[in-house]
Amino acid sequence: MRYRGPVITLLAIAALATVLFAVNLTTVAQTAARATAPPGSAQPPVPAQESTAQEPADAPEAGPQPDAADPAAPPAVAAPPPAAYAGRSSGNEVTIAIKVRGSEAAAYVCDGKRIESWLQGTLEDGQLSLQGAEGAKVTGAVQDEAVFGTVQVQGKRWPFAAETANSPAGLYQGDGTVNGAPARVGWIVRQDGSQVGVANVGGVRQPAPAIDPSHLGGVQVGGITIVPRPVTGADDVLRPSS
Amino acid sequence: MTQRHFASSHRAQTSRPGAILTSLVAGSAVAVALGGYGKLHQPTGIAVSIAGFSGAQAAKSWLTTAVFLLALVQLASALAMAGKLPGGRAPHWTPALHRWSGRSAVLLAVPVVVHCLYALGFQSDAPRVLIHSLLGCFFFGAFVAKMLLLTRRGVPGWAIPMIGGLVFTSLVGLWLTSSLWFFTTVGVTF
Repeated sequence: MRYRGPVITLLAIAALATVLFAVNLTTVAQTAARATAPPGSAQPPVPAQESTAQEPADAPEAGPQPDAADPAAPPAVAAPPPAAYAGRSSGNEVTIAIKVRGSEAAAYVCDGKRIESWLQGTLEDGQLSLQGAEGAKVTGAVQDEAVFGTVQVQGKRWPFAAETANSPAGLYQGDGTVNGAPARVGWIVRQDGSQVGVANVGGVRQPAPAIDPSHLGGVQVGGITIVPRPVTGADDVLRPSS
Repeated sequence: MTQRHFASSHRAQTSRPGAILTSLVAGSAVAVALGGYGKLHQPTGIAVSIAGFSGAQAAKSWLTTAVFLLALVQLASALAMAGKLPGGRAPHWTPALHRWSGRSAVLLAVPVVVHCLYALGFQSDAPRVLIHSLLGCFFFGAFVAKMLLLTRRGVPGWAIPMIGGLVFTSLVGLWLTSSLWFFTTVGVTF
């Protein structure tokens, strides 16, 4: 009958909306929950491991703190000092930076043009496992001064190698609002001083302007000034405060 | 055509304001519920999107553009059914075209609104964003009201074109405050 059609239409719309919400709740909420879990709640303190210690393990307090943004953090007991790694995929498709603090890890992957992704995850027993939006994934093993693993972003997968990056090398982020659209920029500075970054303005990605990692100052993105700040392994990079 | 004439003859017999009222109340409830959820839910900033685009906003801009084009089909087919287009009687497939272009349009709009509500929420910090948020809630409320009105008997002849016009107008506003803004600000990009 004619009078059933609109009701069926409404039910179909409601069903599709419900399915999409359910997909969001299961996939996105999982990623976000993993990112916001309080440090140390997921697992007991990790015993000091020779393989994961990137700086002299016997002097965690005296070691240089690359994450100047967080000087008030209490000293971690029996946890390796914060570490930073930067490197590239095997065919130089993307650059990757990983920051580790305790058992928490944050990473950024980008090609300096159109590919980029923020990831959040854990370091357990020398194994890194990070997830990001839209199926982005980084897995890897920490070995001495390097990480070897696989990066998967925007439907592509590459093996990568990253080496220890001492400050000011590392990972930086900045955010703002351009004409009402959220703007987010990530920069990776490698140990040799080379850098690569992508600005994501309202979902559109473009090369990021260069920064001076030793004197962080604002850069122009989409007509506004965005100030880069260092990322630590414990930062919530999936849901930045802005 | 024939179905519409058939329905119109029903409407001519009895005109019941209650039929309009319940539909409008239901539509209003949907609009308020969407706005309330958008305001109370903590936006995640990310949500599942469509592969093949540079980002969620590009995907949404193109989806909304497709919905906008289908809405133009809606407007033309509605005018044809109402006999407002020159050239005499509308082809016999006009009602089917109207129904299916409308269903396609709303189906395409659902992923957009889910992403808007889940990832961004109801925002009011800029005029464009506030207008877009209000129109988004209004659009789906008006759409629900129109679907319900279609199922009622005793609805006066002016009601369906009026609510249809509101659905169309709010969609044009949505497109202007999102897709057109995106294409002119960020660029015509995929």
